Amino acid sequence: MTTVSRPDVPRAADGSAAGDSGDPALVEALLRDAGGRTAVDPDRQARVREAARQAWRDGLRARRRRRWLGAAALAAAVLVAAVVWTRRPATPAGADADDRVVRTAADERAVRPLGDGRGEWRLDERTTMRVDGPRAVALVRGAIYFDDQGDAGAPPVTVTTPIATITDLGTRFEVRIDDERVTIAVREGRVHVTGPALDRMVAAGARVVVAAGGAVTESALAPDDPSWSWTRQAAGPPPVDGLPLGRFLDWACREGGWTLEFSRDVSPERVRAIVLHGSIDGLSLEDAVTTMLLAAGLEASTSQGRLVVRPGARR
Amino acid sequence: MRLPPTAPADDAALVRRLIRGEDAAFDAFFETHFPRLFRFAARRLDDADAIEEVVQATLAKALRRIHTWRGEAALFTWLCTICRHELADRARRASSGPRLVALDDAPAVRAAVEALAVATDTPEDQLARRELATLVHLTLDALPGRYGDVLEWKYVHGLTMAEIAERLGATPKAVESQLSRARAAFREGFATLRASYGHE
Repeated sequence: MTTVSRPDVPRAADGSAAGDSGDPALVEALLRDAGGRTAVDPDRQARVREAARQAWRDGLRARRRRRWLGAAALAAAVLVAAVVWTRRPATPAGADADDRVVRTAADERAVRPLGDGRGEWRLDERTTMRVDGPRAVALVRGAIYFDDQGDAGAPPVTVTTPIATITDLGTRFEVRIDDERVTIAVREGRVHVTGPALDRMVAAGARVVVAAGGAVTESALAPDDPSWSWTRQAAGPPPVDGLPLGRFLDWACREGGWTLEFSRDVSPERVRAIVLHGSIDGLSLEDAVTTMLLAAGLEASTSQGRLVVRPGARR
Repeated sequence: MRLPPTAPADDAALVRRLIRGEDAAFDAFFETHFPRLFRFAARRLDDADAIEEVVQATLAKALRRIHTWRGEAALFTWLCTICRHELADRARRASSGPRLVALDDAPAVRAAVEALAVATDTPEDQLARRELATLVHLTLDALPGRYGDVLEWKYVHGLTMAEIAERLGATPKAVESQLSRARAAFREGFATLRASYGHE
């Protein structure tokens, strides 16, 4: 950079520059020197205006429709509640009334923290899970994923199914059940699977299917396999505004099943210390990583289970 | 780039009117934000068609979910966030397509700030003036509401108070007051912008 003096910025008598002074004449001079901003081509402007107006009207219509449906649903719910109340059994009971049972609908996923706060269950769509204790559940239908949140010293959790019982040994794993079989997939650590004629350890990177008759088949499943994606959709994105980039990358790698690496020309300490602003709501994991890194002048690629951070092409 | 907080009350009122479905609110929203958003994208993309596509997608997405704007950031800041997502999405979809110039304004702004330090009217000075103009334009685009337009109409295009009032549908007295606030916002924004890049 060549540094000599500053003649191009209009100055007041006291030597202050226009951007710092209260003199309107200096602001005026600076603006006149700069000239007008780039105007947008009228044809482009007209096209975008029409498309934006249409989107706005579509949004208005959709919200009005939702409000109407919401009102109709509320009315229906009140009616159903009234009918149920008048026909209620003398001693209400059963799974529906049991607050230990957690269910998700066809288009719904959920997260349920463990009673002691050390880890969480994530429930896929169409899942029914019964909580039997602070660290014990029974899977009735669908699929659940346990994430120990990196708390390696936490006591084990147990998942009971009609076919097998799964006990974790410091890990993240999925259990999926249907009428004929139970599938156990281990993403990190290992689990102990037991049944009437079954006693088997399953390690990270493996998926085991146990049939109702006891037959067991095992296959490989990488930590970044797309089949894990529902688990992060269930958990949703973390708030990133004010979050250090390092913690965001740790989260992304944990959810994506990647190992974090930095190219040689990147200082991990400096990258990790960058503070993020904004939101990643509505973005896929990959898009969230791309967006946050681009804003920091960086980019990344994923390959063979690794997320490699490198300088952006324009830096 | 961080500039002084904008006018959330004005933004909130505009958004409430948009949610109610007022056509005049859409016009005000578009007139206020479209040109600035277009220039925001133009600083990051080379191709005019790509810029139009990104801005259109941004505005469409924002207007479809305008009810989700919570007022935690200025409306224009919120639009820029959506625009960044669109830019990132575009970059990911078409790595061989129009290239991203930059998501951060730092190189252009740094150059503009460096321009403040050049002395005489050499070819380098002419370049420096253009870069300084970029810094001024960035500041104008970041000002709340129509402040940037009011300043430009008054000092660059030389419109009278009455002409500006007619454009804004306001009284000349209200425009005078707005112009005063716009100058103050510009001074603060310009100074902040320069300071944030290590100059004064």
